[in-house]
Amino acid sequence: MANLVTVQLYGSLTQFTGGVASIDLEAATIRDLFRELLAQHPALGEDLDSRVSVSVDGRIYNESLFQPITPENEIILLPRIAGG
Amino acid sequence: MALDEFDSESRIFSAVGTRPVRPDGIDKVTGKAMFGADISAPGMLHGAILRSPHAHAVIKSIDTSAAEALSEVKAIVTRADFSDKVSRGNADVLENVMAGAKVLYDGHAVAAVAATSAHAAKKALKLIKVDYDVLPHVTDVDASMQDGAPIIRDDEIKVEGYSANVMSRSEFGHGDLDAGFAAADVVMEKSFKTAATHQGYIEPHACLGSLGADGRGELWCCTQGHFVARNICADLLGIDSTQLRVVASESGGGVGGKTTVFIEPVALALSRKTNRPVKIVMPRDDVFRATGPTASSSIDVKIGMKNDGTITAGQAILRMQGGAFPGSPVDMAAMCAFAPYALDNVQAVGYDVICNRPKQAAYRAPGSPMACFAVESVVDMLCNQLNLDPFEVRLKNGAKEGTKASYGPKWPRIGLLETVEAAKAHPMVKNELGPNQGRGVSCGFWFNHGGETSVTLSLSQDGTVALQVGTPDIGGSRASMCLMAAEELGIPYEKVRTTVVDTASLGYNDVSHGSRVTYASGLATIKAARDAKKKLCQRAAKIWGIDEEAVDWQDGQAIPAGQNAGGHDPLPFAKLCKSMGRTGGPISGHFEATPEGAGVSFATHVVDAEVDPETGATKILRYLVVQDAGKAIHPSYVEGQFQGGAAQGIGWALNEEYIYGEDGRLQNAGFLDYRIPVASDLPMIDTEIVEVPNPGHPYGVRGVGETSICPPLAAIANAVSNAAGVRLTELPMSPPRILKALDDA
Repeated sequence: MANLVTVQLYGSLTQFTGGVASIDLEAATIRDLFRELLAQHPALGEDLDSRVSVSVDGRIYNESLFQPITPENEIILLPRIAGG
Repeated sequence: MALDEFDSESRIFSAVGTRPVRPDGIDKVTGKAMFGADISAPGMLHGAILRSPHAHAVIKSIDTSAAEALSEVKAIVTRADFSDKVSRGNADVLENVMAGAKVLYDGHAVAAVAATSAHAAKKALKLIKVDYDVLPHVTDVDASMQDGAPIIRDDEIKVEGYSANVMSRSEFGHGDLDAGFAAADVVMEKSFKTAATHQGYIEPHACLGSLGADGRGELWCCTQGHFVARNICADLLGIDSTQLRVVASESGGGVGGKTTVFIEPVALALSRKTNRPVKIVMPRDDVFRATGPTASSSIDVKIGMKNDGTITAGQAILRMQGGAFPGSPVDMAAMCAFAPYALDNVQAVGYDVICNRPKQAAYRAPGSPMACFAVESVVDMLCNQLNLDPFEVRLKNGAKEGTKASYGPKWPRIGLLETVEAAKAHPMVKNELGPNQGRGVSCGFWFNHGGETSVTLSLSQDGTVALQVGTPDIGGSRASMCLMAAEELGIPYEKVRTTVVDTASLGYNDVSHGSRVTYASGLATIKAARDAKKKLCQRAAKIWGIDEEAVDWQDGQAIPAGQNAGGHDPLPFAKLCKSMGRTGGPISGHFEATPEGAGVSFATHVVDAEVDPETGATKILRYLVVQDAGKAIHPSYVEGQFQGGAAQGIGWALNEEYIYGEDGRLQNAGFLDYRIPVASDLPMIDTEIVEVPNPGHPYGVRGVGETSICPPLAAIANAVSNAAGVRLTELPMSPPRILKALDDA
């Protein structure tokens, strides 16, 4: 069963996707999302998952590779959130 | 892990929300507490680091022979004594810890000595001869971006139209800016600059390292994250991380600046070479010259507003330098710039720039205060021009649940408007202002963070609890952890002792940063206590001979869950602890996870200031912080964080700045010339805690440590500008700068 999600790229990432900021891909989890993104845009880099945070419906995930995602979710890749 | 962790808004707390005495208080006020420089060891050597006097130069050679000839000198290390196989993520850390082919800023480390006394180590530094080929330098962010600027790292152009010192460009936003500005009645544009400032922690960096030739070692240091310090040091020295045991000392302040390493790998490298423990304590001037200040910035803001106060469009162009290495917090600044507003048309663009300055480190909500200063200043200018109430404009345009954040996502439940309403209703704003006095208002935003967290909660036979955490206590977290454990177990606060244990005693923990400790270690403490409670209920079930599902935990004791469970007398916590060895063995609760439900936080600050037009001096008359804490576990500490952020913001706004000379050298590397606020500079900082629960925490906790420094720069600038009658656009607003602005007006 296809699970076509749309991921939006903000920040510096579009320089690695030829300027594309919205990408449709097959993914059921955040890990799938990273795999598919790298397959489509290798320039994003193997360490992409350690450089970004993933916002799913406004909740920001830094480490949860197995977090489920669905076509109904608003998914946005952001620069990795850190703090002081 | 599940994000909807919140128990219930109707929960009644017994321990949480009270204000007990802090467990580390007596040790700190009596001098008993052990800070970084208090640690010593038998046979210890003293380390000292030679630093570059040049802002930018090639290292042609280093001659250590004269220093090595001193009998007191036991070892000298240079870059060659560190691993040549460090991970990609730590390559810049190593370059910063010890220069390779080039020095990149005044204060960059080039060599280090271990000697039998601190005096001998310093003497030896003077005998090391470094032959430099001095290069042109640049320390200003705008100058560094221009064609023809001295190139600091490599000459590859990363962002078209700028020098090779611009490392990346990022952009956030949505809507149609042109249409938004066309719909405005007034469009205001202004440019701003902020100086680099240091976190200003009172305790300088200090450590004691001991590392054998077999790759096994110990490190004692003042740090915000000893697990991270362990991993970085191991990488830089080419050893296995778990062979290095790291102990965090008491913290004399960090504020983000102690989330990485500077001297620790150097002490370990010297120790490995001498087979003796080596202690390094950074002199204050080294702290200023070679540890991480925050970025300096140059920002353009343009905002369109209708006559009724509706913001139709907002644009910010942010340029930040983070020293000689990429990674200034400009991305986060751009994300925070318009966060308090629900805008249909918004854009924030950030440029990450390198300069010949020390590598920036995190400083409380990195990037957000500068962006907030620029945007909230322009909002204030528009309020003045259109004669609008600053609170009403923020209520009219404020972000709330379901609106789209300027950086992309839709907001979950947030408490911005509640903070504005509370500030507007506060008695402080009823005060009339006198001559040369002005009021400033600003909102501010920070994300907060979760991170990898491990906690163990061990019960003792006498009915007390040993709670082991791995997040150094930089803001009173031990008291908060005790309160949460006591709340869950139903026992007195005094029966719990929380200890920050070493890296060999607990699973991995991220650093104490991102306002994460009360949230993440707190959540882990609650879960570990619930794990222990479950085990206690199992013991009670065994004792009573009933199913464990038939046992409840209530008010610190196991009770039968209902009539069918039988008529058993309650089993108190202490009684179950006393017998645990005979009923199944010791009981501990554990929790290890990466909590991801840190709730974002907003604040509103109000400042009344008076400017002396003769001297340019500013006096802060009144200061109010209103912030959403989600749930205040120990309200005194929450208020302390609010006040601490405001106090640091007052220094940043009015006095603090890194001043570089034409030679690229830092001119004010000490507290005599780098002026942080003292008690006489500060009014009583009033606070009001707003509690809009965070669904990602069982009690609703949001981080509070960082948001409090986001609004002060803008709130103070607005107050000072309104008092002086002229807009101040450059920080710090020191007396000479205010006098110049008055003269130019």
